[in-house]
Amino acid sequence: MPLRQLAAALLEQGSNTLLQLDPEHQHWLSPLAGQSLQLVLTPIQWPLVLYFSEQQIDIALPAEQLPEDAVDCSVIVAVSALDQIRDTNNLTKLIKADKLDLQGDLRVLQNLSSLLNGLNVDLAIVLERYLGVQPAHAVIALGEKAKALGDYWLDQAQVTLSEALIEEKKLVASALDIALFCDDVTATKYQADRLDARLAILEQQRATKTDTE
Amino acid sequence: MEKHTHSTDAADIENGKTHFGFKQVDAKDKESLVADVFHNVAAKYDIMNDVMSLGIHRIWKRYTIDSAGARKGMQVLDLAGGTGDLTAKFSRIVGPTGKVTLSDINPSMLEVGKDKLRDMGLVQNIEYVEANAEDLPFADNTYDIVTMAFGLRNVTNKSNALASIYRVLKPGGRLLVLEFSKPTTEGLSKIYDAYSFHLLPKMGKLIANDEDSYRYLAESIRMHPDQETLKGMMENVGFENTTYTNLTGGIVALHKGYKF
Repeated sequence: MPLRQLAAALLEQGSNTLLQLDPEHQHWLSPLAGQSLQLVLTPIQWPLVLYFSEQQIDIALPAEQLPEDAVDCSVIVAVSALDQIRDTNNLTKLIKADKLDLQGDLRVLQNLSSLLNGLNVDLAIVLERYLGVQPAHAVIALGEKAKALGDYWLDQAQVTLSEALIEEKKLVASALDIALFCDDVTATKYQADRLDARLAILEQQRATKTDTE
Repeated sequence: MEKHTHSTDAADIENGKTHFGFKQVDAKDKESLVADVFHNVAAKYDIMNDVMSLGIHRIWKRYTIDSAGARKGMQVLDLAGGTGDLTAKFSRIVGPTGKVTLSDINPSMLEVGKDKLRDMGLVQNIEYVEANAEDLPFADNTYDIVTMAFGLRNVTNKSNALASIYRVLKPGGRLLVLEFSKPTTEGLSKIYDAYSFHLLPKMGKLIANDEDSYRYLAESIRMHPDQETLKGMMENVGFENTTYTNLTGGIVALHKGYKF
């Protein structure tokens, strides 16, 4: 099973489902129609290619990075800066910080940024269509509570983890302590070997004496 | 997935006879017999593909598209393209400056494909041509890419079809043949045989009310040349840098060759 193609298919299905949830998505998608964009995340170097049309976004995950002339715009961006490229005001700053390399038509990235920022998916309206007003709002309220609880647990886990790391660090032996410990172990082993040899000699002497008697 | 290299040859027609599934028929009759099968299955072709392959055919086709290396402005021929799965994707990749030709010998399949693609809003850069793969009605050196997904095994004289494809490809162009092939392990082969000869016709009867057509599909898969043989046939008509990749344990193989 070609897993790369399976991942691309799932990603494509998810992205287009999300697009369809906004009735105004055509407004944001139209300026991108006929364009293509390659996004390469560093340091993992996985290329993601997006082909835009009036109807949908097609996604490919090629095994290798496509040459720059194969797409209209090629963006190589650090994973840490991925969220920042949604705001095109950050582009110059990211390029100067060597976190972004952009080749080709900048407008494709600008239009994609507009699409991501402009997309307005109202989950309540979507759920209302399938569940009705009351249950939809109950589900949304439940989701918000779950999210708040999840955020709280995440914060707590982060605090616990960071405290544990700080406290554990204090207890970690230094390189000198480890070297001294190793020396002690070697010395003890040496003494044990000597004792062992001495015992062997004594046992041998005792055996000889018993034979003589 | 594995890539291999080797070469052999196979004759499709002997003493004017060829195979139609497991039957021997006059070579001149095969075209109309295959046409009847696809007239019968055209309306339910997509749904049957999904059911029979558990949706995996979409991943095989996507792999073919990714391997084709299509770019904006290219000319693509989707041969035996049937209901247009590959055409839809290629159409969006090559964009308005490129062109995709959806070609099939069977007007029923072509009609289903045309309706489907129009419903998807794909009208700008697609042309529809009813054509026999053995005698393509296109000028020499026309296409950058030719694909043939699950079509070659139904062609009466495969070598003629490959030569015809070679002719219409531009120098530097490539052919991709996605076709059922020979499973690479004995265990998988037995499971696959049991599935295709016993379960597949039953599913055909249940979903498309047509057991015979789906029995033919299973038989035609067995009669199709294996990976090495098809590779040899491609090399014999002039394709170079010919390779194949086994997908899903060799149930399907993607052959690729270049014209230089």
